[in-house]
Amino acid sequence: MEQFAAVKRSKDGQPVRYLIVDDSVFARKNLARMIESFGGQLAAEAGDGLTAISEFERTHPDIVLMDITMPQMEGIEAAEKIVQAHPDARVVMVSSVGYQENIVAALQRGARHFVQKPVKPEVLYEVIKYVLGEDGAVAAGAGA
Amino acid sequence: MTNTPDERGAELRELFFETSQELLQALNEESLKLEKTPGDEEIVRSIRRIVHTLKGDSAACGLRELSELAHQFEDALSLEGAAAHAALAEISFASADVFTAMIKAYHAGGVLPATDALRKRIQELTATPAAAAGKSRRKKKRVDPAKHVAKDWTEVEKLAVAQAQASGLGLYEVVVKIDPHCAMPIAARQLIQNAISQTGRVLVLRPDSKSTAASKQVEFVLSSSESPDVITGKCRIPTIAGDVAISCIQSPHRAKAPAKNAKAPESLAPQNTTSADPEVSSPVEPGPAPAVETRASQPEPSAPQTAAENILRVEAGRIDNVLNLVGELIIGKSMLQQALNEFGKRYPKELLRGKFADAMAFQSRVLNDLQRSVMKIRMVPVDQLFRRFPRIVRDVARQLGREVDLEVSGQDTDLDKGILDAIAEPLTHLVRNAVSHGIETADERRSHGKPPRGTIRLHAYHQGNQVVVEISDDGRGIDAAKIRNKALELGMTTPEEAARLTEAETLEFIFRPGFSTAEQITEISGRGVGMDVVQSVLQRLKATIQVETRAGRGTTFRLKLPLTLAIIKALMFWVEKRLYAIPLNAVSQIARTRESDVHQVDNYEVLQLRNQVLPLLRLGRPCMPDADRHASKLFVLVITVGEKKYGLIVDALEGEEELVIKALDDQTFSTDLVNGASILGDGKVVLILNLPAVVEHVARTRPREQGTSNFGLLLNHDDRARLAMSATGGQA
Repeated sequence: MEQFAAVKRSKDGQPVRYLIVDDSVFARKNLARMIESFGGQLAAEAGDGLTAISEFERTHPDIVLMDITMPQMEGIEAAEKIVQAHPDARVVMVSSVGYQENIVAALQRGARHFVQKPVKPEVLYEVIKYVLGEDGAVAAGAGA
Repeated sequence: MTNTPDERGAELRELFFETSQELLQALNEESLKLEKTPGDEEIVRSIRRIVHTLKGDSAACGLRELSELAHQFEDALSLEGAAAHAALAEISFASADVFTAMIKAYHAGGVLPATDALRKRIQELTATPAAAAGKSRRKKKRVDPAKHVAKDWTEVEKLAVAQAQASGLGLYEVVVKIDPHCAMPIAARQLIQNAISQTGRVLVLRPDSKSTAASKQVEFVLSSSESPDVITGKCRIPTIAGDVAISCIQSPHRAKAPAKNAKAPESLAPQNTTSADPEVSSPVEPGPAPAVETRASQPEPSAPQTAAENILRVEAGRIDNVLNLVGELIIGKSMLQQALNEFGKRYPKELLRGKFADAMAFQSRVLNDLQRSVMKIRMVPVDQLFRRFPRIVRDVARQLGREVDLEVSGQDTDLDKGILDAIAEPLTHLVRNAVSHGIETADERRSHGKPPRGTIRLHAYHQGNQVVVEISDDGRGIDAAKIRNKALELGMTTPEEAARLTEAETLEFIFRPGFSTAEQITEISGRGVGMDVVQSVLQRLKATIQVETRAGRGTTFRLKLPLTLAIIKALMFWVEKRLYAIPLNAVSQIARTRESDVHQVDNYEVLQLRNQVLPLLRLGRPCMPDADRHASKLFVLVITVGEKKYGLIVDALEGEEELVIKALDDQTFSTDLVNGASILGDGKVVLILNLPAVVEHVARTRPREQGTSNFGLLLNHDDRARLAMSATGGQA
């Protein structure tokens, strides 16, 4: 995998903390691997929407990567609930092309961005930089 | 993480190969459900979800062919007509098979199977009238060719623009091109809209999200107090938006002007008197449909997935290693115990003895727990095996035009993983046989007054120190006469011998190599290579198989499997100065009796013990001289084998001990009467008897005359010598 310049939180220079929500263990591992290569840190994982909400409350991550189709509570609903409670929460939807309507629905309910499955690291990297906006800073020269 | 990307990639792939098995199993199960209740949308959604996950995971692994195929299937499933399609279950089964084959090929690095046939069937699915009617949401969007590019604003929009102009805010027309590489233009459009809404109010939004042009660009009329640069900056979203063009309709110079006095320029928006809410700011797509659809989550498949969170996948070999070490520890424990006993004898007054005994007791308790825990790791519910069978029964039944139900019970019975894996093939064979040989056609069943649908039952349960797996059908049963004729025809027996055989003995021919009574050799069964394989696998496991059959009523195969292969609690005893052991939980009682209490019934020795009459098994020679015969005392171990009780006559008892079974290879020692051997703390070798085989042996060599019974049972001296050598050699 190619190396990315690490993205850190601009306020304290700490790694960006992520909550990864997906019902597939596999997908979670895959995403975790990518965010590690961006210099990020896995704050928590969740396999369904309900857990996602409680994990968010517990860890207050900088970015939530949220799958759409999940048991218990779907990603859209979870994203909506998180954003309702925390308007600054940055939720990025992760899903396949076939769920475009759902992504639109999620975006209408406060999700900040989306990436398409299978997730390409370079795309996710750009999306994360965009979503962080001024709160994220690319560390000079330092690889992950 | 110190791993290189390559290693991690390989690790991910391995993970995928494992998790995909669960997905495929779930797919099979859902397909079966769908077949029973066709058109159930809930099940179709569940299938779609499984296929979706499979697609995503395989794509992330770079398994392009698989992910494409899964994608195609998922697409077809998302069409609204798909659920109603009659052949959906069929196609779903076919996909499960193809997916399985593909994953196998990926894993083994082999050639991928052909997928054209499946692709065609999936296409059929999309081409059904129901789907073609344009019910598909996605299609609808592509179908609508209407282009709204010009300024064909609605009355409401015109009003909104007019009001904005009057308010004195800046008014911009923004055109954002959607990145052509973005696969989800509608979502991209929503995102752009979200972004631009942060800078001001969107008054007009074009083109309509349902038009084809919507996937190329978005046009806004925006009222904003921000500068054009800020707005374009907001619109430049990586991977989503391409070029952004902004043109200023009205600069925000009249910012403070009172709104109601301002007049909108004619060119932009003619005055309009209708007052209505500007609806542009409302969501582009009202879309309750997607919300409803996605919220229908399936709670059912969540169980295994959440359960998987706490599951560690460990290579079986590592656990075996731990178990081996525990075995060595147990030998060590008995060495200590032995030493302690000697110590006690030598210094009976030494106070230290008590301390030693305490420490020993503590150690052995912990060791017990340790052993039990390690054993438990190896135990898996038989459901892991049973869950395959619904699909197998269905396939075979369909192929042969039978109607068969499968009933499964006792799935949560635990069994050693190694044993479970080993019986998978024999059990599959028996189940297939039950469908193809056992169950009759519906017509035949009706003519015998049976319900047209046949039933096959799989049942697992604990029975003492064994796990029993039963496969029963309510079919035609096995015709002993037919077996006998076939055996004669194949030259496996002579007419004289055949006439003497009991029914049970006749049935044993089905386990001989090359024996098949099927008139026709089908793909599924009847090649004559089946039952003998079943038999040989079971023999290797020291398991037994029983056949019970009633003509016209059905057949039951009963597999009796050992719980585990490694360690047993055993009772040791002496017979003719040789040490033997049997599993302790097979012993229900130890009694003392006299030779005079032993009676002869039909050439069998029996013993009346309280209210029961026990057939006796003798490992040694009976005492011949009648004189002291009546006087001599006997130890009788009352043992339970299967459902029957027997009395085992032994000379003396040694005690109980945990024995680590060391397997004996066939070259060293060829008898099925012994399960294995074990080494005691003082280096003595003890043979562990295979009780089912011993009982069977005694029953077979029915004593023809009194007193000469069970001769062949004893091991001769050479055997013992070789055994002792091999066992100690293996230990070193």
